[in-house]
Amino acid sequence: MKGIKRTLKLAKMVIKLCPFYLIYSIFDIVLGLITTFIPIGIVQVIIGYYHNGEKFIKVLIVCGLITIVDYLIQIIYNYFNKLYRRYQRRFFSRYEIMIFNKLKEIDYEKYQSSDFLNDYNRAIDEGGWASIGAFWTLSDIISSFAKVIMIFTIFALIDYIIIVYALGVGVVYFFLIKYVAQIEWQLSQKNKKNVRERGYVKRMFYLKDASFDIRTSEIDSLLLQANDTIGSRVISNIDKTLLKSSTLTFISEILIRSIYPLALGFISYVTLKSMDFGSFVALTVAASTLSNIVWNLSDNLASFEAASVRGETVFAIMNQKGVIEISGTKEAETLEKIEIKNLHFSYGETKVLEDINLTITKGDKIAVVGENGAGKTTFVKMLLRLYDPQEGKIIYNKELYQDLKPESIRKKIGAVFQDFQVYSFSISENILLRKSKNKEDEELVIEALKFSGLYEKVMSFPKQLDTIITQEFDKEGVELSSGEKQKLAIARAYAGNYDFIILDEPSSALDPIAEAEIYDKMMKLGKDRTLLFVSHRLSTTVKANKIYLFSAGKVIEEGTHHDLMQMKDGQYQYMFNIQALNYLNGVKANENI
Amino acid sequence: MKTFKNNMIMIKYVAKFCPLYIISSFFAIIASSVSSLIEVMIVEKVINLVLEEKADFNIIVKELILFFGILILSLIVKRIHYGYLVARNRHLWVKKIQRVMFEKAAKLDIASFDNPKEYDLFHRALTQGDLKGINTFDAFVHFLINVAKFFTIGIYIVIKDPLLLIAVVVQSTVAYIIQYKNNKMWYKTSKEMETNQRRYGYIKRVFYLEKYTCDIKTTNLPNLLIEKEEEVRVNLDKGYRDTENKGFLYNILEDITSQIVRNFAVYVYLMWKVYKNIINIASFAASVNAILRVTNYIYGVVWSMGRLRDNALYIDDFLWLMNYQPKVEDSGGKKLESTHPVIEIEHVGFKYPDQEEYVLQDINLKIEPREKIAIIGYNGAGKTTLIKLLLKFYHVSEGDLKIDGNSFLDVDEKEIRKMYVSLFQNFQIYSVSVLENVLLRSRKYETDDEVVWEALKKAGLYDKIMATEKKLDTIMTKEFDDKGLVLSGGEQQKLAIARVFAADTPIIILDEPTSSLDPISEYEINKKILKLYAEKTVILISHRLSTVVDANKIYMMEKGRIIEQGNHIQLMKKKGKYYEMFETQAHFYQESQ
Repeated sequence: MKGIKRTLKLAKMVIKLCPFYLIYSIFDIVLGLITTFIPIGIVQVIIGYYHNGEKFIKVLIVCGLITIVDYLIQIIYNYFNKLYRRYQRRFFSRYEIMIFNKLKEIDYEKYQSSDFLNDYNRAIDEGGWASIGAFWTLSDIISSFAKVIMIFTIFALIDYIIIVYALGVGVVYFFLIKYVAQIEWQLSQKNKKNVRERGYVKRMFYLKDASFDIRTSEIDSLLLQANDTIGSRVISNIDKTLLKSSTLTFISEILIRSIYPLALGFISYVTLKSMDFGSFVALTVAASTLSNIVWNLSDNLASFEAASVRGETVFAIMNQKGVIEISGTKEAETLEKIEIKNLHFSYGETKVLEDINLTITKGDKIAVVGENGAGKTTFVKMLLRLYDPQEGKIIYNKELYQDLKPESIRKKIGAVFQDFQVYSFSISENILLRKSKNKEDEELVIEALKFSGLYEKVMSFPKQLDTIITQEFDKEGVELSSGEKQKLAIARAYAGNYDFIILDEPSSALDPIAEAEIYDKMMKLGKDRTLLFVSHRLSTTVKANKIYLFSAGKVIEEGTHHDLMQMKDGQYQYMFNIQALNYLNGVKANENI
Repeated sequence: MKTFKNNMIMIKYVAKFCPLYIISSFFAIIASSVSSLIEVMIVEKVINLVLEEKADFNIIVKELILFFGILILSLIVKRIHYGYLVARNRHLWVKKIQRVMFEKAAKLDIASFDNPKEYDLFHRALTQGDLKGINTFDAFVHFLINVAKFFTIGIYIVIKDPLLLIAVVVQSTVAYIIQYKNNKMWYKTSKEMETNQRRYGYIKRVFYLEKYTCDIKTTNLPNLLIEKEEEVRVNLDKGYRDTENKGFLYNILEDITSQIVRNFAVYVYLMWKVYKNIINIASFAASVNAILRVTNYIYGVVWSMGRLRDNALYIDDFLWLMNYQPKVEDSGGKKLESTHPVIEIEHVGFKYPDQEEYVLQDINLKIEPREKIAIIGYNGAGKTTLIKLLLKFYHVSEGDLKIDGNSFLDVDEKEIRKMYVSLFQNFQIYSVSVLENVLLRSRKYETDDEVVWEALKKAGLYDKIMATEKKLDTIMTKEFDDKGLVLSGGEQQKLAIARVFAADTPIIILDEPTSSLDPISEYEINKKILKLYAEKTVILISHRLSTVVDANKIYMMEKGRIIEQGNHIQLMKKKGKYYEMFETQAHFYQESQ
């Protein structure tokens, strides 16, 4: 029951995304009936002519007519098939876009769950095919039903016995096949984990990430051993179920195949009794059709359940509900002040932030420092409203964060993270993160490039602003060095026209000269804006007007650099001194010469 | 021709790993041919028996039982093959071939990873070679089954009427030629569209890979990706339009012949023979049945041949991997004797294969035992490339690398790599236990546990691992184990650092080892590294110049050359580029004094 409901839902979705499928299906059902009937009908007619002593020319005419009709049907079929490929592409594209749009509603927290990511992957990789599969299963069932009714009618004109037998066999076959499918599904569930683990091992061998370790240590034999164990587990799982499922499948095959000889015997018996040879030959054709159709119908009905189970992957995603992403009704306005009051945040069981109180005023240059795992990055994510606190509140100007649309907050607050990503699109698209549509967009991109110092380099490329980054899809694409990527990050932040820019460890991979250059640009970027940076390099915090030292989720020290350096037994002071140690010693050593 | 050769090679591999599979495939082919033959013959038998003067229903029943009996036998053979052997042997094959392929993959030159063309082949071979391997074999068996059935029924037809054979041959030839051209056209177009097709995969990956999640949630990226998805589809539509139209025409053309042969020529010709009393109705019915089947088998053969051709290409990739001979790995056979080797780099120049530009030029340096060497410089100066040469991942283009006077070319690369433990910026945490992640091998010696605990202590992870249930046997990451341990970025770096502490090699290579750590952790670890390894050679690459001031020798690189060398005091005295870099970084710390 549940399977039918789900299959109907999936079929509805397919038709909604691509109505062509409905048209094709109707056509397929009608024409399927016709083409099934033709071989039976043509034999009936021409043998009938022969028995009734009609002239041969009549046979010629009938065959000619049928040929033309059949051929016209084939032309239409082929035409539909041509269209089908195109519409299938459209379906998949619309299906994926439907999933992507759904993802926009999903909270950031869900992305950390490997279950959700697995669901997403399956929805994208298999969901489309599963939906189409469900649709065609439904269509094929209707088609088979129509054919079965037609064939049964033909046989009913003689006697009901063979129909009863065929129906009976069909029903038994159906249940057997369903049971086998269940066994196989359980097997695939058991092996799901194994298959995934095998995929992991495979990735280790072909991705570059592990290539160094594989050649310099013994991790490869460890992985190979693991793979062998997994392989053996899969085979042993198969061995456990195989005898049962094979035997059942065999029995069901015999049952279905028995329809044909029994039908033949039945027709022979009836013909011998009634001596009506006219329809006999046509009925032999009908007999093999009967067998095939009952087979098809039962198969299709049995695969209902499997088809709908596979389609489950679609609903796993489409039924997800976001909380943060769909909340809030007001738009965030120009930033004047952000107040954070008694903020507590836990991730699952772990407490990450505890009783945070601080105020960010327009124009502030704030530095957030602290040891790894102190909660700095989580704090940043809360400012971007990727998480909502369990206790306490964030107030933006006069509005509660919870009342503001997350999208609008992120238009005012922009972040540049440590592992800045470039996309395999054009330079302007990488900077705007949308398509460049008009002159204004182009000017903004140029301004951003000039600001970040990439302008000359980009103009030197043949395609300039339209140059594609990375060679993944374009052999003439360019690869940017890490310094250039950081500049691109600056350009992106510039083009975003944010009121408040957050920089999270942005320059850790650069040489000192490039690092200083980027730091310079970042300060310029933040000049008329509010700026917050998270950094381990305490040299960058010196110029901030507010420094917050996080430790184990709490703010333990705050103030200007000068204030914090005066603190007795202050941790900031300690951190700064040990980091500065060699630079100052180094310089002092120099000065002694 | 290549198709045939490739498929033969595949059969050899399958025979090697799953010989039973080959045998049962052979029997399955025979069983299929027998069952289709008797299905044709029974029609003729039954009709003849019915049309007899003194028709006896009992004889008909006997014939039908005989028919059914033979059918059951063939079903048994097929079920054993498809139900048991196919399912089981697929996975047996995958298990065995994966071991072989992964062992090959572990021996791939790093150069092949860096070469896009070779990497493409490698990637395809590894990701698809296993399943595709067995699928190509199955496709070949399927092809043989269709050929066998075609010949079996074909011979039956020829025996009845050689003229019918002409009809069959004509139709086969036309079908084959047209489909061959059609397939070629489709193959060419799909190759052209491959890059576009890959974009779909890229777009869907960006939506879920962790590194992109922040951008996905905080910027307009999702909408840009959706626009790109539409763009891809439009491009594919454009690209395929011509091919789809031509394919339509090809199909219509082929249908003319099949219609004329099947509906017209066959029926009319056979009926003419009936009218002329050359054959009887039974023969007519059987011949019609046979022709219908043969037509289907022709399609089966033609379609299979298309698949075989496609598969031949996958086999190519697979064979590329199986026949791969590394140039760097497995080169050189000498063993090393000393425990504290001297490494000499003499006039070394290097450029990547297929590249024009030299990445390293005229590098000269000597690494003595127990020295602390720092390599610094601008981004892209070639520092990491130099390390790759030291690890013998590449052969030098010019000059020579010597270890204890022996050229690297002569020494077994495994011996060279045993001298090092290295920590790179993009280290990998594997889904194996904590102990195995630290030692990068399985537990072998009694002292292993102790060594690992010590290393974790020094790296600052002791408490964290102690707090877990399985301690050193805790599995890392959630890939294989839902209760697997997931570490933060900084903690991961500490685990990687523990590898260094646990290793017992004379040389340590560190490439930006503390870049993600907070100042206190960085300070502590650097202290430990430099102090505890008085007995070891340390090669350090770093952008944080504070960490290099204590090195015995500092080498500064720019654009592939060493531009300055000496210790910190000497270089500062020079007031050259090192001085400039150091001052830039020290600047902010000094200002605050």
